[in-house]
Amino acid sequence: MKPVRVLIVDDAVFMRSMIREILTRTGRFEILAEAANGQEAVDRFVELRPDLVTMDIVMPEMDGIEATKEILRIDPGATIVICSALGQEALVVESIAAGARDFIVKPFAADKVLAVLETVLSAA
Amino acid sequence: MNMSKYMDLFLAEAREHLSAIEDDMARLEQEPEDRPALNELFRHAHSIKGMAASMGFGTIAELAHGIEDVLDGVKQRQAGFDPSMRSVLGAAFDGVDRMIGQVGAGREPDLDVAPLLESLHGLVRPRGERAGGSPSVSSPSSLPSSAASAGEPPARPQAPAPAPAPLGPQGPASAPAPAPAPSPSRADASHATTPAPPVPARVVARPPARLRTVLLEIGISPDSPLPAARAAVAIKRLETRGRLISADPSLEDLLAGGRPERLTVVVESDVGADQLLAEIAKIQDLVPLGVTPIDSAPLEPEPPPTPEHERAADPVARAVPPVDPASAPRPAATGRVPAAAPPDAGAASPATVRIPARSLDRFLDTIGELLVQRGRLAGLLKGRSDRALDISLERLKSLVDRLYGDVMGLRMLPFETIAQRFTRSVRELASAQRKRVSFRITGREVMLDRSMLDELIDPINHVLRNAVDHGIESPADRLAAGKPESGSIAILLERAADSVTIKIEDDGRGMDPEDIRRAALRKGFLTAEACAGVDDAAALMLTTIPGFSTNDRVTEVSGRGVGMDVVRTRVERLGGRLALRSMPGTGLSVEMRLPLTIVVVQAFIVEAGGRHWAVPVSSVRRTFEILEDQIEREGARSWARIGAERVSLFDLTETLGLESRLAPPPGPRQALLASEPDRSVAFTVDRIVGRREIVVKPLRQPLEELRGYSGATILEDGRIALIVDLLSLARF
Repeated sequence: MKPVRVLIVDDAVFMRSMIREILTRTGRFEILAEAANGQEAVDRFVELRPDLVTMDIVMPEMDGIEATKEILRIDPGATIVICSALGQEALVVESIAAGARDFIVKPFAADKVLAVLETVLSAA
Repeated sequence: MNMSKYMDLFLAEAREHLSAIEDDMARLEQEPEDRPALNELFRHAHSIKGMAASMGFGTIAELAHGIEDVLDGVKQRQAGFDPSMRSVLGAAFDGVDRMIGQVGAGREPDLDVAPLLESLHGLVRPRGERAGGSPSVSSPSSLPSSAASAGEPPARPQAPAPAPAPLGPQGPASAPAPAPAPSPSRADASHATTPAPPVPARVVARPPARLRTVLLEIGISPDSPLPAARAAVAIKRLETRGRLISADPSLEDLLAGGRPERLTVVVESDVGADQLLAEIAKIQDLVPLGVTPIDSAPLEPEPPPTPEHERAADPVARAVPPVDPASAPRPAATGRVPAAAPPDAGAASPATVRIPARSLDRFLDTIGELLVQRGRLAGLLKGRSDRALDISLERLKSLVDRLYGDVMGLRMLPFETIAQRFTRSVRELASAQRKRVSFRITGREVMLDRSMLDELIDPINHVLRNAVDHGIESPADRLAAGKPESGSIAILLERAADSVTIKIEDDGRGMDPEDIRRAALRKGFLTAEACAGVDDAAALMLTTIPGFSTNDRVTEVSGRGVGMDVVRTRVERLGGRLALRSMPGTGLSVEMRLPLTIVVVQAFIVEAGGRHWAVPVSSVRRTFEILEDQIEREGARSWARIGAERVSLFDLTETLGLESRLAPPPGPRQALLASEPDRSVAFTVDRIVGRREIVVKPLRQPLEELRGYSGATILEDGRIALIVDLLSLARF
């Protein structure tokens, strides 16, 4: 099975590494690139057309909701999963309403993360 | 075959769709992500296509079909709704509008739709080969409108409209020949005139999918960190699987926050219910609780609006008929396939069960009694401090609460369940009167208790009939008055925390308070001085006095007929309140404010005249205390000053005609302030005993005739207390 190509978006290096580790451990995912803010996310998306984007919400330059909307305007079929901290519920709901498929909550539990991604990819 | 007798209906309906299309396009312009508007737009185009095809208007049907394809593409996420798409769709809808106009003027629609079709096809991402020639209009799913289907198959004898020019990008290779007439052997209502040229790889018309409407109950794990967001994920997922009719909490609700514990969704889909549930189950933190099929299409043609006392038994229960799957009747050959098909159970036990509506009612009664007993237990155990007992009681309380919530949830249905019949009523009434009326319902997804929905059908029908008969003027009169030829009637539902408001608005003649006051004077309902004291709002409510309008001619009371007293009684019996607002000449708004549940409410228990009475908390703005010398008196009337307001003050014991058993307190008297949007009154009582949760038992005949009481309840000590409606009491 072809690996799922992922773009990881988060302004914290720490978080990006964590997600990278969880995903690469399984061998199912291939991390194409990382982005540190919404603008970069959109640029890399256009450049690389990943199968999946993990998107943080609170970021400088352009936040995750804006980036989500931008990406979906470019490709309405894009698969975006939000990575949020607790206490950002309204923003998450807004992202889902805008077209993100699902979300995972920090701090990440590997099994939950993989389960969510599994569901999202199988439904796509 | 002569379709002319359906022409009026076709034109009326098509125009309705066109005006709704305008609204939806405007919405999408504002918010291109507005999926409900998009779905509505799709349905309108789809309906116009079906009707036009049945009437034999091939070009109109083709154009509508082209529009439908584009919208379908957007829905499937193959295209985004952007400005270029808007202008193409706008032009296409204009084309449809113009052709309907031609038909209305008695001419054949003769617009050259080829360029429009070309632009439309260019918007959908090309998929495989598309054979040259017109897309199929003989889609079995394009059922003609209900009125037309009652007639014979619409096989049109003459040649179909010439096929449009070949499509640009796909290549003009096969020049389309006009399609041959259909073979007469397959003459059934669902096939239109022009059979398809070879159907391309992606079927242009949908296969006859079995669309079913189901109510899904989804539980959200209490451990979920962001329950509202999870619910949003479920809603969006289901939107991609079918048409979302309603969601509670809705996406808007979820955006506002909260920690929902369950999600109830009504979905129309051709995906099996079990599969829908399976998909939901895969989403983190969500647990599918159950599925209930809902039949939103009537099983037989709607009977004409029945008189009050002959109302068909439990139309809402008919919507979810209790059927033993083994003996499910085959759907009638005519009419639409009801959603109530046998469950796709197969070998495994079904995820859904069906129970008679009565069983739910029994559950609710029992739970109501449980709640009361729990309160009693708490009262009896007060003062005995026993930790174990306390804990157990708390647990009992939360279990009963949860059970109550679950059963109440099962009883709630969206207003959509009864909405169809109103659209039909208005259409029939308007056409019988030769009036043009555009009708819409917003807030269809608002959930109401099923028995409340049942009780609302007649009052709403009454108000709608009045609106069409007496409110909306004839097209000529409207034009003369500078109004658009087509009148508009709307039902608007809004939900507040613990109430629902149903507003029925029209832009017709309205009612003139002065005319009404004069009529009341003339009929002897009021004396001249009393008349002078009746303000405009109160004047409108005079029309709800029984017997007020029985012999009236339409002109005298500016257009309202019989029945408003009945409407008011029904609404008040449900624990609600009726209000009328009108601008003479501009329109009328009939507003029903109803409690969300009719079973258990929070109430103040007060003492007056030696008895206990219950006052629903929802009607009380606040409680306060007042000293004797703070009461302003003028003759027989009293007033209290509350903040900056001067409010009429009554004494409950006195108003009820009782004698106080307690001596008047030396100190301040306790009082309650009851408010509705434009009126407040205050009542002093002997004592405010406390706040309780009470089970509302509706009053039965003859007690329900009494004004000022909205039910009864049994208190903790087993005694009966009547639930008083302070605002009504103050009026009489």
